[in-house]
Amino acid sequence: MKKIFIILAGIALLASCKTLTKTHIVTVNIDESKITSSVKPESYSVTIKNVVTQQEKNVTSTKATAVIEGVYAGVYNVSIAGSATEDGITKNYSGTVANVSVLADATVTVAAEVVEPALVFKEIYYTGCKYTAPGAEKESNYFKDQFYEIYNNSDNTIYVDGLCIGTVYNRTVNTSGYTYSLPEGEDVKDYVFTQYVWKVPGDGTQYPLQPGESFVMAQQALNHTLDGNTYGKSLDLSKVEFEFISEEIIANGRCTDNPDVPNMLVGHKCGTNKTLQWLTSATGEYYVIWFPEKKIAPENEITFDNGISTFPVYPIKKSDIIDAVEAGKDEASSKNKLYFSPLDDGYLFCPEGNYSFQSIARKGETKNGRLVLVDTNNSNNDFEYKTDPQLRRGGVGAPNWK
Amino acid sequence: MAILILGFCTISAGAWDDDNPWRNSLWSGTGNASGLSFKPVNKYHRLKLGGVYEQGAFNLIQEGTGFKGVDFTAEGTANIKKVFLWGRFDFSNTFRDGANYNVMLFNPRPEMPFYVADVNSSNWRYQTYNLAAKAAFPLGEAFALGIDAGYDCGFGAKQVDPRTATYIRNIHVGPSFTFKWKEKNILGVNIAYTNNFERSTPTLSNINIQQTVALMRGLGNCSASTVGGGTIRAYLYKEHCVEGGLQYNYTTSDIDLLAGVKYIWERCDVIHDPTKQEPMGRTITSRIKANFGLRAAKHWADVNLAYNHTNGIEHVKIYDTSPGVNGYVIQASNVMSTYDIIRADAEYRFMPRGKEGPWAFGVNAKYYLESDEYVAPQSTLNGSFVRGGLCADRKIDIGKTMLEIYLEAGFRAGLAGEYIFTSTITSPKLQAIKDDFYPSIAAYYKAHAADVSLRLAYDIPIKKSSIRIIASGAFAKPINISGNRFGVHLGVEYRF
Repeated sequence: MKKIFIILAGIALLASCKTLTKTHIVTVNIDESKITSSVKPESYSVTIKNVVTQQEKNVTSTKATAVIEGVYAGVYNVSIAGSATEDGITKNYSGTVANVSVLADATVTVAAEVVEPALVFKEIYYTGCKYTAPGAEKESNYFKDQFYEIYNNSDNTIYVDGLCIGTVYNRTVNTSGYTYSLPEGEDVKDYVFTQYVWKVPGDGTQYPLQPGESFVMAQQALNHTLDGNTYGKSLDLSKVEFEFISEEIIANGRCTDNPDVPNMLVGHKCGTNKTLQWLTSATGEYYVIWFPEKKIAPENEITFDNGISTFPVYPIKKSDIIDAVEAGKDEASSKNKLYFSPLDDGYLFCPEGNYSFQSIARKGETKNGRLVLVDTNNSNNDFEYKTDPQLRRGGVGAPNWK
Repeated sequence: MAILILGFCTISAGAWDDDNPWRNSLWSGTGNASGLSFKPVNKYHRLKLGGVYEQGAFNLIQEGTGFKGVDFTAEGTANIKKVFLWGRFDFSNTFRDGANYNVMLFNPRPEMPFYVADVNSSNWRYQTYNLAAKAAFPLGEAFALGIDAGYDCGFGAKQVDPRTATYIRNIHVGPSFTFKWKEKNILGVNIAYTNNFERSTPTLSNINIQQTVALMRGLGNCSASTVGGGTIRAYLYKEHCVEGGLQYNYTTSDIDLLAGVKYIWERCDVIHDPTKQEPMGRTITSRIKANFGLRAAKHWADVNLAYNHTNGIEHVKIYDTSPGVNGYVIQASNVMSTYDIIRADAEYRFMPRGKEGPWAFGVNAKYYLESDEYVAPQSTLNGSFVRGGLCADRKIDIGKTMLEIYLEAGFRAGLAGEYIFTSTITSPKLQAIKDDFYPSIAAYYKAHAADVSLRLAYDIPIKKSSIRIIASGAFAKPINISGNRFGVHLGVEYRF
């Protein structure tokens, strides 16, 4: 039967003059002339996507050239994504050429340009919860399960290597009458200040975050739902991407290092206090993420004087901040709001307060198969509180870094 | 050629359910009308009114879970001097229930990958009108010319959003020629051209809810779109078919043998939006058919073989806004999917006392194989089954009337049924296309099933005419999948 089938097929093919479907080779040259940094990406992720079928091929370039084989004739969008780190500062680059007709072997030139990273806080769980420790009669407060989820809200791949996260030091808010030891010529209104800078590890190519993916940083990457231990009853954070653990924290013995989860790096710690854990306030803080323009270094630390005391702080240039969310204790505390445009015009809070097992989550809707989060720089508009803190709410993708 | 509505063919309702001189003529199905000049059909006229009802889940999912309708047929022959004429008119009005994954196509079929599908189960309504005629002109004792002609049109309407109004029209013309020598041999050749046109226009009853649909390209590969807001407009199917056939007929006083072979080439262009004329794809189909027929006093046999190969061709297109163009330009075309189908059926009938005798016994067999492939990312659908049946026919004279009882039992063995899909469907609303639609086709092919059918025909002679009342029913029960299918058919025929 097989032979008969082949013979019939051959007759029919001859009769119908079948045109064999050929594939083509597309060479992508990356134009790096717009990259002013002395360090350029070692390679780029190059994607060619058919605009009709939405099928895509992805390859990694060798330096600034990529060769994609097996491309069927069609109209394609060709895009690139890469990153490079210099002095601990990561810059992302991308470029796209749309509606390229591939009818034969073709060469496409794509210009690499600096990407303004569209990373946003997706969900922040800071309130902690109540739990009853084994053998205890009363409930205790629990806060080691805090987490911060960051989402790629763009259509570009963003390498998060070197991304910094911190909370704004609230004593610095009332700038009137305070003095700051900023370098001469710098305006205090261009800065916010923190006392801890945490940084995502990586050399600039290790942690690509695809559009529609999120990654999670936990205070402690443990399963906080286990019975019979001191981890409370809240969330399983044992498989998140990063945890806020440092050598100093490990040494003081209060926290357990999960060997399967990479540790965040301490970019900078102001002063000489010991870091027992990275505990942010269970009543909310002002959270920021940023890619620093200048290298994070001890010599950048400054002091501010409120007329009574002086405090060491680390300046964060507002123009470097990618996303900021201001959360507070309650509605009445909104009068203490720290900052306005362009960082966050809003102010939100979890109504049950601290240790309520509530979180704040950004709103969004699915467009073209991807969740697009609302980002109007007004947390009142953009966020809502949740009574069920979740990792990757809405089924968003996780990066494949492990 | 006539527009057929899928449905009752799902189950066997008796191979001899339409016993008439035309159907039993060896030349009637060849497409060569000129052969009728040497082998004319006995003069007959008939009017038939029928009704059909079918229900059950054992069928292809696009065909729906139910089917009911009425049909009317007027058919007959005439001779004007030496010219033999045959003509037929059919009308049908049918309802299909629970059809899935089809927004556009009047008659969904494996060889047409370019259409719009949704995930809303829907009813459809249809009306069809078919006209067919043949004429055979003898040219002396050894030659004859013939002509086939046909005109069909139909209307369909999907009843659930996104709802669709479809119009289909076919025109067919086919000249033919036969040569006879030594009284026993007839050689025939025919060509034909058919032009098929279909226009399907989607609409919404509730314009406040846009409907997500899939623009299908073959084997589940699709792009998401919406009906509503002017996104999807009418689809046009423009098809040209050319055909060539060769027949050989050998006749003695004892037997009548006919062997024929036919080749059909079809090109169908699928176009979206009559204004913008967006090319959605093209199919090129080659069909090879062979048939063999034997008529002897006690033995009848028919064998039909068909092989279809279809290329699903996708276009690389751009919208050119240049002055004077302002329309879609096809830059290249590629064969991205192929569809191979083999159909074979054979039937043998033994009549101990000849055609008019009281008993007839028969065996029949059917084989179906489908092998479809989408090139990249590669997806495949393979399915095949074979069915065998035993049947008996008994004619009982009751006074001047006659009752004919036909009984058939068969078993279908599913040989293969596998669907492999390696692509992705981005829209969450359309995941059922890969999870339900195509897997259900594979499961249908692979199903084993037993079936039984019964047909009663009662002939009442009235002077030189007769009335024939027909009632038939069939039931099929699959073994390795759930569901069943049953159908009944009632008809009244007036022959004169």
